[in-house]
Amino acid sequence: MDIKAYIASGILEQYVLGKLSPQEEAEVEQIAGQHPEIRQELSAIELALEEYALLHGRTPPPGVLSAILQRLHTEQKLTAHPGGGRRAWLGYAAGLLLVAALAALLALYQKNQQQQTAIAGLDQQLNTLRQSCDSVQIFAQRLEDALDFVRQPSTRAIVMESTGLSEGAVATVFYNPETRRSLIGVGQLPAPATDKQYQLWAITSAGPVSMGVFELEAEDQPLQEVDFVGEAQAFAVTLEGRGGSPVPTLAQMYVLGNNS
Amino acid sequence: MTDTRKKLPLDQDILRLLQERDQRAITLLYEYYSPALYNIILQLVRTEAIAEEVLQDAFLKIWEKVEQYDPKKGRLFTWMVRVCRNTAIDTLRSGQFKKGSKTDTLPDSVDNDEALSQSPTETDPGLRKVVSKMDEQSRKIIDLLFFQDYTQSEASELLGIPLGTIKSRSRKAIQDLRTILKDEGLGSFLLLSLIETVRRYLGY
Repeated sequence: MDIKAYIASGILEQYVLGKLSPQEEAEVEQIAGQHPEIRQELSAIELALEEYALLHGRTPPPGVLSAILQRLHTEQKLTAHPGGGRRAWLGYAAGLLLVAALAALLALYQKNQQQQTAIAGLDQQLNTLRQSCDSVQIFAQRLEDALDFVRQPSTRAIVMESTGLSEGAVATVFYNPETRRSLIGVGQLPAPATDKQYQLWAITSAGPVSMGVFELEAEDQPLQEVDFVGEAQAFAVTLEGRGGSPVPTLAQMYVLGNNS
Repeated sequence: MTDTRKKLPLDQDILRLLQERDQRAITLLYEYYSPALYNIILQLVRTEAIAEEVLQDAFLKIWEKVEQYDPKKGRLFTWMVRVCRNTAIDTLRSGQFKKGSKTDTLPDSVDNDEALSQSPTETDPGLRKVVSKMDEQSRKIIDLLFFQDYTQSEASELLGIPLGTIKSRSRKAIQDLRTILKDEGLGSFLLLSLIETVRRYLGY
């Protein structure tokens, strides 16, 4: 092969300028591989054009390099998995799936937690309802009990009326000498001072006997249980110091009723 | 001088950095080669905004496809020019941008193009010296084939030279260029600035 003629033909310049078909390019590469002179000539052509291109250089607008580096940074982050190419994307996709699965799991967990909290809240509500239901039940029971007691033929209702100390004051004693039980129902009495309490008295032949103190309104008790005193001829309510008094203060007698 | 440069490990150093996925390689290549590559792209796409985009894309391709570069086949710069040209052509073909019709445009009118109005020919004294020593035909043929990526037949049509003589004419043009560069010692100057750039980055 005439190397000088080959070089002089200008095919090497066309090769460097990228004007050859892939077939022609492969041919030049094969010949260059066999002949160092051709390889050297190719290098010289490349260098001349490279230097010429460098002389023609125009500075690109500012910011291009940082844009390139930023894009490199972002794209490297995305493909930072070993394996590269499609595998990297597979890994990336798998990673995404894993993240999605974890997120779903977390969401389920959180939902479960929320439901647990809701259930605990409902439990508490149920307890409260049960308790109030209990108290209603107790109240109903006592009411029923009181009603039973009041309905008994041997139970007498003694209405105690105002002595004039407080206009319109009224209370009723339900008294059953057979079952030896007595209850008081407060009709209307003025609210006592905090250190005072109403006390019920049975007036017997031996004098007034205490049947105990009571509240104006007792929780859960439509009628309040009081101590039974036999042979009562009359009943009276006086206002006494809290806890009651051994003897009634007559000046503080609010209501009075005869057990006739 | 050619031999001296060939022995220098600069291309290999940059290539090694690229293969090691060291991003300094991109900064290094950009610092030294981006003006030349930007000019080549600009000659093809004619608009600065597009040229800037193509330059970005091309550098990313250089980074991603470096394993496709075979040092046995040629210099790194030659390969980078190809990457830039292909990226420019892809961008133009993507439909968003249309390339001005080649056959209607005389190479001289390139200087009237808005984006190309500030030709480096006028600003760079080294280039002016080189160009002033080249004959008109050689300069034109290199401009067309190298910078504007004309095919041989396009160049033959435009210059009114038979297709068969384009090869020998382009050989003569590049031979002239080699002689002038050698005489001017410009090659050594450019070489020194490359060595300087690489040294700064690699610390030797």
